[in-house]
Amino acid sequence: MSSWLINFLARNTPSCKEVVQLLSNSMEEPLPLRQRIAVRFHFLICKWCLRYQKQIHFIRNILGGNPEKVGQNAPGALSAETKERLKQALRKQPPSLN
Amino acid sequence: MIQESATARPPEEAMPSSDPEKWVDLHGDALYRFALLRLRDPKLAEDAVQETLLSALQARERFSGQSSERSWLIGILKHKVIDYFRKISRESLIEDATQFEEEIEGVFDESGHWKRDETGPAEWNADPDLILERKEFWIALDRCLSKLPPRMAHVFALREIDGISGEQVCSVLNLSTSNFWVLMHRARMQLRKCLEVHFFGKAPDVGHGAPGGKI
Repeated sequence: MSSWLINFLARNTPSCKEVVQLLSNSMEEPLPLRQRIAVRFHFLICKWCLRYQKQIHFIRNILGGNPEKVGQNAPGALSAETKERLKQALRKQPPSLN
Repeated sequence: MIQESATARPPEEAMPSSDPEKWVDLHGDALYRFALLRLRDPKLAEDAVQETLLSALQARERFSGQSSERSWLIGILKHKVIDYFRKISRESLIEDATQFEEEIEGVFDESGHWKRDETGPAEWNADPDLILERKEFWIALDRCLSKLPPRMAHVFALREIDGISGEQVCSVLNLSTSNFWVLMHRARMQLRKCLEVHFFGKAPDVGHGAPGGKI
C-alpha cells in the first residue's frame, strides 16, 4: 500500500483508542454504517486493532459457550462449618405443604 | 403390577433427593463459586447460596426434572443474584465510569494509537478446540475475571456469562447505556490484556510477541 494511502487512512480513520471502544460497542448494538466503514478502513493500516477484534470475539464465544466452566477454577469453597450451618438451616424448614 | 426401578443417574443429574441436605454436599461449592464470581464478596455469596437452597426446598415439588438438579439450583441462584443487584443499585450511588480512565493511560500514544508491538495485541496461538481442553486456560480466565474491579465484574458477568441483554443489565444495575458501554469496553480490554499476559505468554508491555498465531 502506498505511503500516501497509509497516511491518508491514518489521518481519516478513528484512532485505535476510539476503534477499540467502537469494537466493543458493536458487540452490544450494530454500529452505524459510517462507523462500520471507518473501522474497516482502519483495519487496512492497523493489524493490532484487527487482532483485538478477533480476540474480544474469541473471549465472548468462550464465555458464552461454556458458562458452567467459568468461575469453577477460582479459589473458594464453603468451609465445613458453613456446610453444616446450611444443612441445619435446611433441616429446620417445615416440609412443603404441596 | 411390576414397578419400574429408578434409572441410576450421576449426582449432578439426580432428581431432588428426599434428603435436601445432600444438595449442600453435591452442589454447595459449585453454587458458592457461581455466586462469588458475580457478587465478589464471600459473605454475600454464602447468603445467596443459603437463600437459594431454602427457596429450592420450598419449590421442590415444582421441579419438573427437565434439567439437571444442578442447573435447576443455578437457575434459582441466578435470580437471587439479580434480585440482589436490583436492590443495591437502587440504593447506592452509581460510580462514574470515567474513574477507570487511568487504566488505559500508557496503552495508547498521544495520537491514540497502540504503541506498536509494545502495547498492541500480540498474535494468539489459539485453536479454540484445543484451548477449551486445557485446564490452564480456565484457571487463567478465572484469575483474570477475579481481577476485574467489582463494578465491572458485575456488569460483565451478567452480560457475557449469563447472557442477559444489555437493556436488562442496565435496568438491574441502574446504569445509563453510555456508562454500560464504557464499563463493557474497559472489562473487555482488561480481560484481553490479562489473558494475553497470563495464558498466551506475552510479557507485560516489554514488546515480545507470542510465537506464530491464528488469532
